[in-house]
Amino acid sequence: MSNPDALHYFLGNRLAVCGLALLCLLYLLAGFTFLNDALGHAVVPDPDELRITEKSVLFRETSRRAACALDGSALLAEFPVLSDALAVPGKAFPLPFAGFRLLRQRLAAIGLENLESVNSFVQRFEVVHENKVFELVLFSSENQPPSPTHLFGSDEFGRDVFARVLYASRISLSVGFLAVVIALSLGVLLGCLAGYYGGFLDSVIMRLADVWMSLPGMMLLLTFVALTGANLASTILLIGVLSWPSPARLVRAEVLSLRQREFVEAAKAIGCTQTQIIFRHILPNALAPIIVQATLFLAGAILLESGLSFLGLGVQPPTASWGNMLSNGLSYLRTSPWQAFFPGFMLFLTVLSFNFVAEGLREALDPKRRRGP
Amino acid sequence: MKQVPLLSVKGLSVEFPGLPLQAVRRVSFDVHENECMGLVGESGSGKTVTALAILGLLDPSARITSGEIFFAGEDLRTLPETRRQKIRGHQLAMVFQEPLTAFNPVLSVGEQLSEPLLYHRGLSPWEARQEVLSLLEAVHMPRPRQVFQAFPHQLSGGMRQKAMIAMALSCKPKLLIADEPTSALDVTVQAEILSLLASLRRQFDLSVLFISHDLGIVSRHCSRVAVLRQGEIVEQGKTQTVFSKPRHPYTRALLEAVLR
Repeated sequence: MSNPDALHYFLGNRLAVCGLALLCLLYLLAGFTFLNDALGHAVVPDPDELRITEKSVLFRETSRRAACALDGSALLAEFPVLSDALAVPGKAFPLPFAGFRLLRQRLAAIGLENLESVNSFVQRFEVVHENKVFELVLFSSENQPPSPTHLFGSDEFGRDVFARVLYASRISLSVGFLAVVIALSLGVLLGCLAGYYGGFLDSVIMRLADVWMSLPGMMLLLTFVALTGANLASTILLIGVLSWPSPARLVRAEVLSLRQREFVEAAKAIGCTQTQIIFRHILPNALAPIIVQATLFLAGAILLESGLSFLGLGVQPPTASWGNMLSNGLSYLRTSPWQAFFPGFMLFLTVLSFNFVAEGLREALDPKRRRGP
Repeated sequence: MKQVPLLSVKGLSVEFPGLPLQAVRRVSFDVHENECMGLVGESGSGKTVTALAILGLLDPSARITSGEIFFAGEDLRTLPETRRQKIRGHQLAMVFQEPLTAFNPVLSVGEQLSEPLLYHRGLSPWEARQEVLSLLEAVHMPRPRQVFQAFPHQLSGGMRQKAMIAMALSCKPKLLIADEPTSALDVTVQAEILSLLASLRRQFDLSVLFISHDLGIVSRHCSRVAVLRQGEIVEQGKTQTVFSKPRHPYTRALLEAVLR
């Protein structure tokens, strides 16, 4: 970026770094559940045959699966089309690619023996139940308080709350990211057009944004879900489409000031077309505030999705989501408070982390907002 | 022997809405091939507006009320925008006064220097990189490989202006418009840039429209000169003639203002 000490400054902000670390951890764990799922209906070795405890099987098998899933071909075979993945709420779009890359490095470092393809796995081990590692192995008894076996306790069906919270994080994070991607692509495009061309186009887009912002978002979402039924994909789409005006305004304001700068004139002088000027020369300069806004909006979108799920209008059980775990846990609040506490706490932690990261980014990218030394 | 000029500006007038005076009034001058033409005048005399009008980069609110701008036989004013984009940066290049603001702060110098090569000559990014590196060597840039990856703010003023000149020359233009290319630099760097421009002019067979308020520089480097005052050309001719026997009182005043 243009600001060489921005990274340094960001790393100096303890809250933001803590938030970022938490989010990274969350993404790693969510990525882990995804890997487990990707090969969930494959294979687990028989502990007796290998003469090891069940716990080691659990550990070895998850690492093996992870390693295996990192073999690109196996992954592609499991997730052929993005839209397919989206259509099934239980298999929300696998987003944690950042977590992926990290995992790949870790696994490479550990140097697992026998990095074999899925096929040989299938031949060597017998097929067992789906989601064995996280759900069925830990299936022991109902309403257990937190313990080493059930880190976050278990629910009324004996499902491990920790595993469910992790699976739910996948949904929440995916919803957040996709909604942000939709809102930003719309907002940035319209904002650029309005800011760069100005005049009539600008007025039309900005008045549209004013009208859009006066729509009651939550009411609209509720009505929509009530009319069409709970559907994760359309909820994401609606959250995204509803929130384009604020990034659009932000981008417009940035573009308005950037287009007067001399480097834009210089870009014209070397024969750049208008598209090249907007997207290659102006937009990268406006990126910093967009990133900050996106981070804040991510937290907002996650909250919105949880709210919908809490009301029973978002993700439907048995698929786990922080929102529906919370509303389910409310019924058992007196007997097993961990059922509601942990999903709620995770939600709180995630949103808080996003806000800290956003604040840190804002200060790091914009020297004017920095506090004195 | 009268050859057809490379650039011929005829009766150019530019006005900005709301201002009583025209910024440029009936300005006419020619730039011939392999010639360095000077355009001098105090600030606000319309030098830059003339340059921008030639490139077609005037602010949208400005209006060219009359005049023709012939470049290599084509009237730039009547050409469609797409054709003008092809000429800009390709046959007609510009060096800006302040190289720091003329470079995009978030793109590396190499990326920006490659742009004209990618757009006008259709080179692949790898070819463009090789070409840019050789251009950087042609302008005597120290450590071209590091400069290629550097961001504009990491270079010194002189290096930035060299990079700017390299970018302007990248597509072997016929005419280079240099708008006060040395005003933002200190005197030693100024001399280096000017001698570089002079040697590149011979090397690349360039014509240069040299805009400056510095009469000393103009008298040393330009064969002909036009003196602008409040948007009008008050005097033009061979540099020696104009400077040794100024006919207009304004030229005389300008010459007397030069520090000796």
